[in-house]
Order: sequence, then structure tokens, then C-alpha cells
Amino acid sequence: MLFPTLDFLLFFLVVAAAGWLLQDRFEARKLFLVAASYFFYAQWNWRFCFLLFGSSVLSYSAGWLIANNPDARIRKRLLAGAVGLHLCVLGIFKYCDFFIGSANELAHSLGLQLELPFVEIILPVGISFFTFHGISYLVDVYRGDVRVCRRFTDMLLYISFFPQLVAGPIVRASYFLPQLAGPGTARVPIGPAVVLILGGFFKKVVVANYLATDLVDPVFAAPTSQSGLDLLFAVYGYAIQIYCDFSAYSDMAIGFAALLGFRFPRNFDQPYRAQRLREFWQRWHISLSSWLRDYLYKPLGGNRRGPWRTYLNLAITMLLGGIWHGAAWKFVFWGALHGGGLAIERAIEPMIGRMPQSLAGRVISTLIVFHIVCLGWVFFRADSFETAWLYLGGLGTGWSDGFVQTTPFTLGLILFGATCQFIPRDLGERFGTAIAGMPVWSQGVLAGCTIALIDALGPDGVAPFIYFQF
Amino acid sequence: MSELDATPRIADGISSAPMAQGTPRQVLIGVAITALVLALFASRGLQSWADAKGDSELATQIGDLVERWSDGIDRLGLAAPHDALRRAIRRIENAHWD
Repeated sequence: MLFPTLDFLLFFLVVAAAGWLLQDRFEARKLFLVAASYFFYAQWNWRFCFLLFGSSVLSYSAGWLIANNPDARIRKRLLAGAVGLHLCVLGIFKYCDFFIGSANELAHSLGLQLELPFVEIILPVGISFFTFHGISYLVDVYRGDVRVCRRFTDMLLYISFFPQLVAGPIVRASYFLPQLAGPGTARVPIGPAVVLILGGFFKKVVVANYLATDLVDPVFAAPTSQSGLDLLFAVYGYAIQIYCDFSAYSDMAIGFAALLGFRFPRNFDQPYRAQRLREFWQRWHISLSSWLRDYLYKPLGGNRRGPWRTYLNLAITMLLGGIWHGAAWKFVFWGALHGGGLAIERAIEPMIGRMPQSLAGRVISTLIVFHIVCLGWVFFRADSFETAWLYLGGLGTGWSDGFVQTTPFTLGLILFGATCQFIPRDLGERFGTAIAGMPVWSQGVLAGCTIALIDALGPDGVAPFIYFQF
Repeated sequence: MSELDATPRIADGISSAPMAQGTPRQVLIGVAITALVLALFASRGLQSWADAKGDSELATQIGDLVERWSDGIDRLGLAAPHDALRRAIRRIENAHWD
């Protein structure tokens, strides 16, 4: 069940009705939201609801044991065991065939007659996200950053809450669980929530979908038969597509959660205006980059053990961040590129300064960072590691053919996406304030007319969000 | 401070600027009105939604209902803006450089 569909609208209508009927019965409302979230997840594959439930049971029971055990060594072992179990489940579903394939390739290259059979397990939608939620809770309990979750319903809701269930943002236990402790305020920020949902709807249905179907997919499907200019603009197109796709999901998730009275963290902040690669990661998938910082980079030692160890820690963190995206060498390379880039940037920082000072310096830095990120996107989007190299090789050829696949329309969408990176940051807030002051019926009419307009402008059907596969 | 350390702790996705707030009842009314407006002005989506429901007895009944609704909307001319916009965007989409 995708956000920009009629099925989801009907589903959310029922959830909103329950939210109103149960507004004075917070425990019952939480229980209803758990049931609704499991129903939402079951639309993909009901069998994986058991996995979701198992993940919640593991986090709840391990968290309780960690919090109630006075022995520091046992607490540490419990944490390691529970996190290990979470990662095992993730590894089995996500990486099993990757390791089998790699082992087979290695055996062939060594001349061994080894052919391990592939397991071919279906990847449960959102498994990385709910696994990260579970790990974040356990580590936070161990560190004392969050109180142990006493109510099992709260844990079920924290792990399964439908707006963030399948593609984030990754919501920390220390951020979300306190919101479940009491009913809080019954006031709902309708204005900003509507702006986020409608903006996300437009970014996904119009910008991301057209760029995918009209430019990116055809070019990446056969990169060797494209002109150099098309290859270049298809990468730019993918940069805008993945931003509009992923940030759309995050924005809508934040908006729908807000309409139900819950806060989610910001996940994107105009990432392509970044002037340093470090800054890019402070603006792109913020909930993942901060998760990696707090649960991987810092435990590895962060920057506390000298420059070389810092570079290594950065490389390891980003490499694992790459592997998190998928079990393929192209993601390994993508992570290594960003890890290496961050390490080099840090090493040369005394020469180039922390941030450029002049306007020309800022423009050049932004362009350099954007193109490094685009280089990474070639590997991220290509069907395989080998195809990515073919793609890059084609960039230098056939420029005299000009645009063949890139049309004025797709170029316009790319320019629109690029412009979005530089509009005033408080524009959404201003729209939100204006909508918040409108009567409720006109808010509904505005939302309905805008969605009808976007539906008319968009292509037929809605493709799944890119990050569903992670 | 390290590369990743500089990220702000956790920023809310929704602005905390003071503005008028709603209630769960208003959310429900807003969503219901949104659904109604969509049923009136984007009924083409209803048709494809019903078609995708399969061929069970319930799905067939829903399909019949949606067809009658869409015919009614067509007669009233409410689907015309949606169709006109769709034709316009298709023309823009298919435009080439030469």
C-alpha cells in the first residue's frame, strides 16, 4: 500500500476516524494504531508480520533484561547477543545470497568446483528500518539514554508505526517512546503536515516518476547505446529522482504522523546545496547518517584516536552504510567512495578551510560536491558494478549526437529539482502557517484539488518508492 | 568535532513555529472532504483502482458502482478538467528539441 494511492487514502480515513473516536483513550488509540500498522504491513506479505512481531519481542525482552541486570558484563553480553540476533536476521534475509554468490565466484577464480545453491529468500519490505529501530532502542537502554519500555504495546507501536515502517525516517527510541508515555497535546499541526504531504505527493508522482520512466530507466537500461550528453543528464536526472522519491516518502511520513499527533525527525535538508561532502551527509537521509554516527562511528572511536584512525573509522562507517543499502559490489563501491571522500576532505581541510568563504568558492564547492555525489549515484543506480563502469566510459563519447533521450520536459524537471535546493528554507513553513489559518473545510478542498491536479499531471500508476528495496 | 558529529542532535520534521493547530476531529473532516473532492474531480483514478481489485463478487460490485459514479461525473462534466490537464501534460511530455 503506497502513500499516493486511493487504498492508502481510504486506510488513512479509517485511521483518522479512529483517532477522533479514541482521542480521549490514549491506550486504546495506541492499540488501534498497532493493529492498523500490522494491517498496513500485511498488504505486502502478511507472513512477514510475524517477523515484525518477533523483532519487537526481541527488542522488548532484551531491553528489559539489560535494564534490570546490575552486572555490567552481563548487560554488555546481553546487548551484544540481542544486537547480534537482530543483525543475523537482517543478514539472512538481505545478504545470504550475496555471500553465497561471492563465495561461488571466489571458488571459480581459484579453480575449485564449488557451487553453493542460492537461498532466494524474499526480502521483507522495510526490514533494515525496523531492525535499526530495534538496535537503536537496545543501545539507548544500555547507555541509559532512554528508559526501558514497560508497555509491550509501546514497543509494538515503536517498531511498526506505519508512516515510517517501510522507508523511514529512522526514529530513535529516545525520540519516539517518550511520545507514547502520555497523551500529550491533542492539538494537531494540520497546516505544515498538509504542506509536507502535498509537496511529497508532487515530488513523487510528478517529478520522480516522470524522470524515472522518461529518462533515467531507459538510459540506465542500455548505457552503451546512449549519447554522452544523455548519459550525463540521466545521472543528473537520477540525482533529482532519488531525492524527490526518498524525500517525498519522508515528508509524507512526517506529515501523516503529525496528523495522528506524533512527531518525526527531519530527514532531508536541501542536500544538493552542500559545499562539503560532510555537509551533504548532514542534509541527506539525516536519520541514517546520524544513526551511523552514534551507533557505529563513535563506538569505533570517532575522531578520538588520531587522524589516521579517524579516516579509517569514516571509511568503515560509510562502507557499512553502503552495504546497508544492498548486498552488491556497486553499493560497496558507493560506500567506499563516500567514505574515502570524507576522509580526503578531512585530511585536506587545513588547506581548503572548513567552508569556502567567497561566492565563487561556494559555487565551485557546491558543483564539485554535487558531481562527486553524482559519481556515486552512477554506481548506486546501475544494474551492476560492471554496468556502472560501462556507463562512466560512455560519458566521454557521442557528444555530437546531442540530446536524444533527454527532452525539454525532463530537462525542465531536472531544473525544477535543482531549484528546490535553493528556495528559502522557511517557504514550507509560510505555506503551512497560511493553511493552518484556513477553515477545515477549505483545507480539505485545497488538499483534494491539489491531489486531483497532481494526479492529472502525473503518469499512469505509481511506481514503488526506491527505498522500499532497502 | 568530527565529520558526522556536527549534525544537529535531532531536528523535528515539523516546524515548531507558532500557528493555528487542529484537532483529531478536524483531521477526520479534512481527510473526508479530500476524499470527496477526489471522487468528484479525479474519478479516472477510481476506475483504475476498481479494475485492480480483481474479479471477486465484491470487487465486481465495487466496479459496477464506480462505473455508474464515473458515468455520472462524466455527464456533469466534472472529469473534463482532469482529462484536459492530462492531455496537456502528455503534449509537453512528448515535445522534442526539433
